[in-house]
Amino acid sequence: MVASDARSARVEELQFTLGEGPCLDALASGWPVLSADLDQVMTRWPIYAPAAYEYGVRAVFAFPLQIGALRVGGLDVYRDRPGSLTLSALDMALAFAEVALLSVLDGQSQASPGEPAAMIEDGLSARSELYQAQGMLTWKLGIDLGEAMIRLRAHAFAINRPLMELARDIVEGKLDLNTAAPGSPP
Amino acid sequence: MLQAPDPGVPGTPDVLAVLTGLARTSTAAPLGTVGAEIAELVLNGLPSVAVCLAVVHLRRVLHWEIAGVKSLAFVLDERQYPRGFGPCLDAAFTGRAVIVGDGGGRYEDYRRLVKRHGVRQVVSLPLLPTLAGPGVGALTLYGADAQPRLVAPSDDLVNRFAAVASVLVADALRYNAAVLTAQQLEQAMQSRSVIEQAKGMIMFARGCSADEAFEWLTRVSSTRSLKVRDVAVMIVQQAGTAQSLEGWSPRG
Repeated sequence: MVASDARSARVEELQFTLGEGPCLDALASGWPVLSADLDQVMTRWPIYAPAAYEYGVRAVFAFPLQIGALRVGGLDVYRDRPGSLTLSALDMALAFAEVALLSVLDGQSQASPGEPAAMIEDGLSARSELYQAQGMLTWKLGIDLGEAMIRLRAHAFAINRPLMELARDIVEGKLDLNTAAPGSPP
Repeated sequence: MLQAPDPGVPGTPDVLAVLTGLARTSTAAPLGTVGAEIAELVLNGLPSVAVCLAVVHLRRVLHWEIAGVKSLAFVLDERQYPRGFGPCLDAAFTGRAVIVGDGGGRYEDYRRLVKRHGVRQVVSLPLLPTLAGPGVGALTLYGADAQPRLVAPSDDLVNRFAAVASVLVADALRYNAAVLTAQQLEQAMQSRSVIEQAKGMIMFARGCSADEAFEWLTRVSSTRSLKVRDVAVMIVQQAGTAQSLEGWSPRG
């Protein structure tokens, strides 16, 4: 994940922590998700929308990076006032999504076989602690990977911390899995 | 024997309809789909009994499509022949048009072969999307009569077909290459997450660090001659049922 500023990064992280939001919807459907007024779509993303609103987001536009049926990512654009994107802004966002897709594919085409592109590597490294924490929890609780991720997300949201930070604490042994089983109330 | 087009169907080629059809051909599709569509359109628009479209890249044949022929024997002969040399692949790889009609010359064997299937002339046109760049294939037309000439390579109309087909094939190649890259990216990312999940399990089960967990994984992988990723997948799959990693201990 890359973001143009710290606030966008936090809002973006939110979708990842919660597992819901416009970018994930755009990725799932393959269509842009255009929400000109976040206030009107609170029920669509019952946890994400109010939280993003708290950060000052009033409108959000998500564009999938896709080729054919394959989707490799998403591009999110935020506004701090309600309102649609102008036609030229929409054009520009679609063009940026296209450029982002091409640069990802270009990077990947130069990667060694079986390895992700170097440009993706940074993002993956950041995610690796999350997957490790997921694995630890799966093993500890005898649950499946999906449930482990849900519990991690729920716990991160409940204690109001970014998912990645929680994962790092688990991996570094700062959070005792016996006393604070993620998923239980803090 | 190849049959001439049904006499009930007007024989005049509707060039505009074919060019319109080509313009509407989507290149965001597998090579086979794009190739079949082009071959079919050209067959309908130019006076030939069969059309072959070969797609090549880096001296490899990626796709081979014959339209207009129901004779399996002809398709088999035509498919096998170019393994040595044949007008279609020669045109594709050299970038020069090849005409087989009158007896003699380099294509004498080939000419006799296709004659058995009722084909009296063959014209292969290279598909060159750019003037200087490599060719992406060839478009081959088959005629049931030796005369009149099906097409002349200097024919403006034919060149227009070939030019449009070249761009379509080049686009389809680019699209398919990009899809392949995206698939590789997806697989690489997925295999990475599985390895990290397995590392987490090993870290918990063995009470070790992430680096030690990875070292353990690679040792198991080398003693068992398995890929690291495959070991990771197996560990992840047995999570929830196994309570220890004992069965996995690397020898030594």
